[in-house]
Amino acid sequence: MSDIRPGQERFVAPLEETPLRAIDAVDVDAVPESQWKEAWKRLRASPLFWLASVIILVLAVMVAFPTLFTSADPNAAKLGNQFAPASEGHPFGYNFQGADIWARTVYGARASVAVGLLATLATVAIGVVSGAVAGFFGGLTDTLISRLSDVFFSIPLLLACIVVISVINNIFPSRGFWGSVLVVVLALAVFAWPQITRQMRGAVLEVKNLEFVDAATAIGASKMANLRRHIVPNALSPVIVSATIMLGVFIVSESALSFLGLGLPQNIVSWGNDLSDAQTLVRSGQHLVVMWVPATALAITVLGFVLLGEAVREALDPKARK
Amino acid sequence: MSTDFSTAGPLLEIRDLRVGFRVDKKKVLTAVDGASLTIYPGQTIAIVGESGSGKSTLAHAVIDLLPGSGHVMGGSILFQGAEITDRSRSQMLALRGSSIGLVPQDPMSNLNPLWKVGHQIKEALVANDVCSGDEADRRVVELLEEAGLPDAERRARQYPHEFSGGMRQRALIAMGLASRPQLLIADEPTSALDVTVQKQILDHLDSLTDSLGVAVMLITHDLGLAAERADHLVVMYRGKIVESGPALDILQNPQHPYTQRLVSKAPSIASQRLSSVQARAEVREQAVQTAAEIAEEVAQSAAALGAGEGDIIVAENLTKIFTLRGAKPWEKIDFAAVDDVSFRLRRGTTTAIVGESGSGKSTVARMVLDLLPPTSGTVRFDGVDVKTLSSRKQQLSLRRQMQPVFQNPYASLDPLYSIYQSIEEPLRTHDIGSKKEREAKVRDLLDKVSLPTTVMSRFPGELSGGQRQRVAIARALALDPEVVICDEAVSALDVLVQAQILELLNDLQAELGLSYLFITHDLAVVRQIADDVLVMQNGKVVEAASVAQVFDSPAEAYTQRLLDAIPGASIHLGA
Amino acid sequence: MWWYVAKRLLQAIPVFLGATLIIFVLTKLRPGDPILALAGNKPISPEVREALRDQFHLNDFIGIQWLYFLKDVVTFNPDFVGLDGQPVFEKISNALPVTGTLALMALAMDAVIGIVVGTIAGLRRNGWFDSVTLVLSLVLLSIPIFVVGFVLQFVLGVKLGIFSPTVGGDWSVGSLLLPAFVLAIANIATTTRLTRTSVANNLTADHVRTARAKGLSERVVIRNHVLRNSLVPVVTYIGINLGSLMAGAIITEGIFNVQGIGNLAFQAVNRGDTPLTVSVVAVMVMLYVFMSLVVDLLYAVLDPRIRYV
Repeated sequence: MSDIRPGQERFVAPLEETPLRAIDAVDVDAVPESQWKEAWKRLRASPLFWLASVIILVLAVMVAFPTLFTSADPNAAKLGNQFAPASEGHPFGYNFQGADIWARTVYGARASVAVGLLATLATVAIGVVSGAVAGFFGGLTDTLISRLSDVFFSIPLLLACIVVISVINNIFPSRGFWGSVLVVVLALAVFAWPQITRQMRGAVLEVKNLEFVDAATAIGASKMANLRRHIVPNALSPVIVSATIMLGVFIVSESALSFLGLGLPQNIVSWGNDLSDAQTLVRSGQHLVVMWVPATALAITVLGFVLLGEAVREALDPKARK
Repeated sequence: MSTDFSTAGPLLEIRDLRVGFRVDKKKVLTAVDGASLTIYPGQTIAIVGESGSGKSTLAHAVIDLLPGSGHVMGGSILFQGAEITDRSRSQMLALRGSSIGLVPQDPMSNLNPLWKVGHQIKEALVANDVCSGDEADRRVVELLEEAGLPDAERRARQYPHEFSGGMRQRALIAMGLASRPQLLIADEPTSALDVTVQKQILDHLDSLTDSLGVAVMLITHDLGLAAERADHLVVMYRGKIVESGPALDILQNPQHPYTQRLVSKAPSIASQRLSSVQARAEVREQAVQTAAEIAEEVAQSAAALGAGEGDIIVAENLTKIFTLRGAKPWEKIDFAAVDDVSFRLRRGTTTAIVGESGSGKSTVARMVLDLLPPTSGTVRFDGVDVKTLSSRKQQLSLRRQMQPVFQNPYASLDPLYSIYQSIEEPLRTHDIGSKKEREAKVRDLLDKVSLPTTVMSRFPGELSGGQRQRVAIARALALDPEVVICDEAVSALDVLVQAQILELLNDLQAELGLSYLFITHDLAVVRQIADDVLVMQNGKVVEAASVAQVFDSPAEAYTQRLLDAIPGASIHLGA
Repeated sequence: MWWYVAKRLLQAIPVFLGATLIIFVLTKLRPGDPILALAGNKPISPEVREALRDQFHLNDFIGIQWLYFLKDVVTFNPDFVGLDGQPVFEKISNALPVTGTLALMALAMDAVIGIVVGTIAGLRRNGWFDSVTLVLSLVLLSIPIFVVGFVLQFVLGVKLGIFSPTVGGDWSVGSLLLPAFVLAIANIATTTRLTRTSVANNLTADHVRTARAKGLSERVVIRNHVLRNSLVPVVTYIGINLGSLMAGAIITEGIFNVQGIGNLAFQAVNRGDTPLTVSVVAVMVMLYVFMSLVVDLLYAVLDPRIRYV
């Protein structure tokens, strides 16, 4: 090894070309950025997010101020107007009962959004708490909660809702708007919580082994304080994504249930009811506009939430797309 | 079978290579900026650098396996005299495996978990037209034996998760050499392994490549290891080659300021110097003095937990037994992670607990910190048995006086808390001071760990590993503890950053009279920071002595093995 | 490995018991006199009433009733009758084949289309195919199943006449093609996205780079190291879907007039036929539990790491 061969002579790079930096220096000028802020930046840059926001915003306005979109009364049904064509102020004409299709669609948003929002809130509330408790405390608590969630998860959602709602229908046959909404919300939440529970439990299991939790314990934080301050906030990301998509799923479920005659009662204006009424027409192929209008409204609404969920997922986990 | 290569031309020549990664439409990040080196047949050279130096990128560029948007921007790579940067994909394929082999870094993620190990090696043989079918199966077993894997025939039919880390690395070596390439690129092949295993595997790799006449391009961050294993050394810094030449020459006479930094600070080499031993002695003297003063105060104060004794932590017969599930659901196996461990930590000094993975050292730390209850044995803090602390007030008192710094800088700070919030948390939990006073204290702490106070509003995600570790240290000091337990606190850091943090820890100890319990797997680090050493293996204490004793005349064979395994231990440098 | 199987089997039993108990209790909550309905709404004498109550165990504690019910379900007791006097399990046995075929066809479509499209999208990620697939799958996920059903029924069935718009009692695999596709659409969208993500992730995995470094051709690398690893989560996802497919069949069977279990369940609920409703749901739960067991076993076959947990 003693001879130096060509290409391996002693070489020292000149210092001007290879200046030294201080070891591990802090970049003093950078702007501070928390994880949420970073996620927000990514969200802002996503076209999916903007599209979803527009849809949801329009929807929100439609729910809060329906009169901005139509001056007609969705419940005013005159048989003489049956299937009357579009006219001034009634852009899509009239349906089977002689009610304004567009008005019904505009007002129908309320029921769908109410069910979707409330059901999501209820499901997330149950799911986050049970998942956090199961994941954090483990042992018997975990086994109980997990088995319970397996049981509820194994019953197909739609079927269970059908049974529950038909039972309640028999016990309380007449309910107002909110009563009906509550029934559907309850039925959905009671059988949909396992999904959120599982995700939350998985996330908590991952986070609770990270060293900053030990550090907090070593500082003197109690178990509950740890759970509250450190574990749950760090475990929420997957749940947020799921909840957003679930909103869309619940809106569809409500319409599916109404389609089957088991959702909101007939006297309540909802997209599901309109679509259910439109069934026979489709087979005959006539007056399809009665179906198109609510169906499109439903599809666009759900699309909005699905897009939002997708955008949020990408923002919280940038590796997902690339 | 050593061939005489002395008259052959270069095997691999890299001239002025530039490699970049496209960040977005306009920006390109240059990872390698004008690198040149030469490798001759049968020769072993080492490329040394810290993370971000470009050494791995350089290696991967040679076989055209750059990740993501990486591409060669300029320069040339000549293999056996022919240019390979402009080769088509199929031509490159022909080179890979049969002419140039790769032994990658992380043994767990580099083996496909779904295929048997033998199958994965057979793939290499078949793809390079070495042999196939039954003959290939036999060859696979031979290759595994050659790589030093015992019971090779049975192992070939197993899956990667059934192997230990060292065994997987051997399998990867067998895979890399399967088709008898002329050049083997070894990318940090042992950095994920225990030190003694590392030495075994590298020794084996050396003799194997010598006998096969394979040239080796060894990538490593450890200067000592590089100098031990290679004749020719290339030092990289921020994409450029700053110094290269005969290994011993560079170590004894470094000329570029960066190389000089490495040589003076890298623990494996620095620890052998008399100067570092002297520095430690000075720190200890000061620390013991300050600690004695604190002990006086503690003895007189009623609020503090203990009695101001000289031995601030006394562990007696600590044992921790975990019950694991056996192969059958009703079987239970008792596993003694820690078996009858006793030691004393004297005020103002550092006791290091050294061991490889599975030695139980971290479990001991957790028991001392009262994060894990021992199965039997006692921990006394300043004379008070930790088990007897029942009231919340007492427990908080204990926490105040003993704080940890953990290993993984990326997990020891809550990513959702700002730096200020992380350091302030202990003060808030113990309800100390008003908001203004707490802020002043946080500033003071950041100052002590040499971080600018603007860091307060930042978040962990924006800081480097070393900076986060300093924040973790600041947090540990927030309650003015007497003891800091460092659980592999510097193991995950780059070499120069490691040296910086060790210096910081020493300075703080002298200034504040702290006592350290220092858990580590790296004996080289121990010399720079510890006074007493506890060597652990498989849960038991193998040797307990002062640092000087352990390094100069170890009593046990295992301790000697650990010492021998320190990379660069065999190189003798001046003072 | 066999302990894994046994453990999973043991876990499945309480799930089945719990699920049937819930549904059983729920339907028992229905007010109204079941005896009256059983007797065809004709007035009956107290003796007959007592006899009927005995025969249907209605005097027993509800837990015992549940146990009798379970026995009937598990043995497919031919004497167990619904409110119209017809044997429940005979009806279920008649309806099961068509729904089963429908669900399996949907599953097959889901698997084939979802995996193929998802793989191509993942291999050419960020290309035009990938973007189009993303948009298409998001849109398909959003449109409710009955709208899709209607639209396709109308366009392909009524207008273009390629498929018959309704199925009716006389069914064949061919006539189920359109309903199966409608049933599968939402799942196809999700399977595609899942496959795409899995493939895209695996392409950049360390072991893939090592495989290339060995000198393997790109085709072998994709087949053995990318696809093989990507399929594990996808296969388990598809398997679990069988349960939701059977439930989704309710709507599809309604639209296309398929005389299957979904239809049966729906009509039973509407009529208030408790025994039939509960039995159908119980059978579906059994199937779900069975399928998830099969999926877990499949998972263990595909991923050797699971076998030793």
